[in-house]
Amino acid sequence: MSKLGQAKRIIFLKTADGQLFEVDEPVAMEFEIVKSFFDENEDAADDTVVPLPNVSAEPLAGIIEFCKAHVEFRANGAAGKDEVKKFNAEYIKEKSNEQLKELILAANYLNIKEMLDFLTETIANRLKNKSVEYVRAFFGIENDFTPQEEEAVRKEYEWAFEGVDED
Amino acid sequence: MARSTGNNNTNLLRLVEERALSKKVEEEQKKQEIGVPYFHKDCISNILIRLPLQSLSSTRFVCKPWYGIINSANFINAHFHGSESVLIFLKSVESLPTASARPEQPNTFSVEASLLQQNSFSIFDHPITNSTSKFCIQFMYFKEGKSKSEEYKVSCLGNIRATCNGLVLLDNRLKKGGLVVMNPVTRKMVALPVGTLYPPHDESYGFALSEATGEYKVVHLFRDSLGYISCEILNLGTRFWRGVNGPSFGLFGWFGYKPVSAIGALHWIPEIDASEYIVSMEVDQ
Repeated sequence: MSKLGQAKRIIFLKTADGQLFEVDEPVAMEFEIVKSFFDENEDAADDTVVPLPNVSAEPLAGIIEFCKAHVEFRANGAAGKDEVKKFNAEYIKEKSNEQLKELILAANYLNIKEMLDFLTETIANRLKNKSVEYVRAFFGIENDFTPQEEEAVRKEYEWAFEGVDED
Repeated sequence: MARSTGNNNTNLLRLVEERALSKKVEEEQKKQEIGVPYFHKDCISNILIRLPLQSLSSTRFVCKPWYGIINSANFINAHFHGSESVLIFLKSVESLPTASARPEQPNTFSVEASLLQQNSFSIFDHPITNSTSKFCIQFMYFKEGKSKSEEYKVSCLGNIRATCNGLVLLDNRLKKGGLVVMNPVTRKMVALPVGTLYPPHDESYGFALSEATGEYKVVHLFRDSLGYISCEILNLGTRFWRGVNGPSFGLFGWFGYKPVSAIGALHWIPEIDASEYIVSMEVDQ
């Protein structure tokens, strides 16, 4: 690497489940957490491995795929064009709710603003007009209202439960 | 003796079974805890902020922390700033479906019935609630270059006098000259005290939000027989009408155009046609 001098730099990332990823520098710099790691340790060696204790391999691979495409879009001046929308739609199409949740948790930890915005929007779209029970199941949230409390608030907002989509 | 041993044995067996069962339950709970990833409050809040109001009203009952997020003033403010403007209008409904008017939807909220309930009047004293000329409140929005209209499932008898940020200023048909401000999404409403009474063609109402104070204000202009125009303003927080100086004599020729609220002021077109100026009134002062 040092011999080539100008060759593109590779960043090494290690996931919680012990996998090592080699990522092109511009893509890795999309992760705010990685960027600030190198900002704070300017003299870090080229082969420094950045540990990512909160991210496992599967979501990280998905995130790298997304960020790589978006870095290229920006380089080609295609940002904000239909091409990007098409990629995003394709990207999210085959993702299950579980995968989506893992992605957003990882993107949140890595602090990737663009991707986080996109995932947040996607999840919001999947939750739109869904029943309370569906939303609870989606996030694995326990209902902590007592039956009495729930009945009282439901009565007050009775109309709010009309027009809910089938789960 | 033998019998009692047998009893002991079954007791023991039951105990072991119960223990195994409770262990299993515990393990399952543990599994669930691990399986359910922890979402940061900000992360949840960012997702919820993108949901339409109709979804939010039921989503607030998911759990108590969410109820807290959605009902917080910060969230309401942020959600409002992220929401798009819609056009609010009335459509007449009739109890019997005709070609021109659609029948009323089930579970429609009636402004008048709710007002009567608030004031604990008897519905029978008010023949007006049986009136057939009823309106339902609808809204129109634009998506991908197309307009779509939807219903709030709210019906009323009076006209819309003005709207501001999704709040509607309605005629209160149960009280002569009375007005109601309502939020058709949350169905909350508040009746306003009666101001100066004037026939509708000699008055104009404006409804605006003062960015400086964060208060909603209702502006009422009315014209006497000599053509002088007076003005009174009601602050939605205090709900008192207070007189202020009206526009100069001769500025208004016609009151038919409803004012528009923009950049901290209300703007009227003062003539029916060929207006060479607009009349504006600052609301921040």
